[in-house]
Amino acid sequence: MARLSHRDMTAFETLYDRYGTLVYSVALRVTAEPEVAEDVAQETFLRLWRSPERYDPDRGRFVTWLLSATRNRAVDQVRTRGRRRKRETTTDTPQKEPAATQMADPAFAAQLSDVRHTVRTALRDLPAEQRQVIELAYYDGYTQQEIAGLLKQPLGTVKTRIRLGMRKLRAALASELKEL
Amino acid sequence: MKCADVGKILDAYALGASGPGEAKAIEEHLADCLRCWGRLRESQKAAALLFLAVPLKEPREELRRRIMAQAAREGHPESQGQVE
Repeated sequence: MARLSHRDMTAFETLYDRYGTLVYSVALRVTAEPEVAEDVAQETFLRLWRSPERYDPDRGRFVTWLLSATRNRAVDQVRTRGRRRKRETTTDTPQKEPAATQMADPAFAAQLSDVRHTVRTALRDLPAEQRQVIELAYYDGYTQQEIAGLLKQPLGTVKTRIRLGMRKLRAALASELKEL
Repeated sequence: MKCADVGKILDAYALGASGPGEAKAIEEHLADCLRCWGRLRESQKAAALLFLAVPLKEPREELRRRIMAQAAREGHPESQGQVE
């Protein structure tokens, strides 16, 4: 990151090779449209290139910061452009994913794969109705009010499901969270 | 708003799902409450981890070329004035 602030192109390429697939995948999950996801990924990386100081190491690990920034930009796009089609859910049977060795930075991909497994398992183990509201909120960018409307459930029920689901996730991910 | 009430809605806030009124009330409370601020950070970290669960899909090679070309253009000292 320090090298980025000196406009080191090689450092930027390394950063892209390491995080490009993740950033694009998050953008695609939220927007469900490859072209829009590409635009979101491009803007996310270019903003970092323009102002690397946006990332403050005191506020957590780089990868989580980068993915949150990607998510927020993608949700903004979806809200601006309107929602197009139903998105697949995260816990659907995984489609063919790039194997760790196919990602541009294999060592990083391997390291990530354990954490990914833990997070996917934690999500999958949630009661379906709790997982659903969390996914609608975080991946699809709906507010609690909108979710209540979509699911035809009282707002209080949606709030409770989010709270219980997140409590379980925090417990399941406790060891990962310590490292953040 | 009391800490106990904020605690009940912090997770939704961390997920970006609070309505505007609720978000404002939380932010006002957080400005004076270090304890709830710490709880929010925990929620945000858990939320951020959720992104590691998305199905991975490789972007087209074209995207890398586009981003690098644009970065190279903007990185040129003469264009520094145009960047934000």
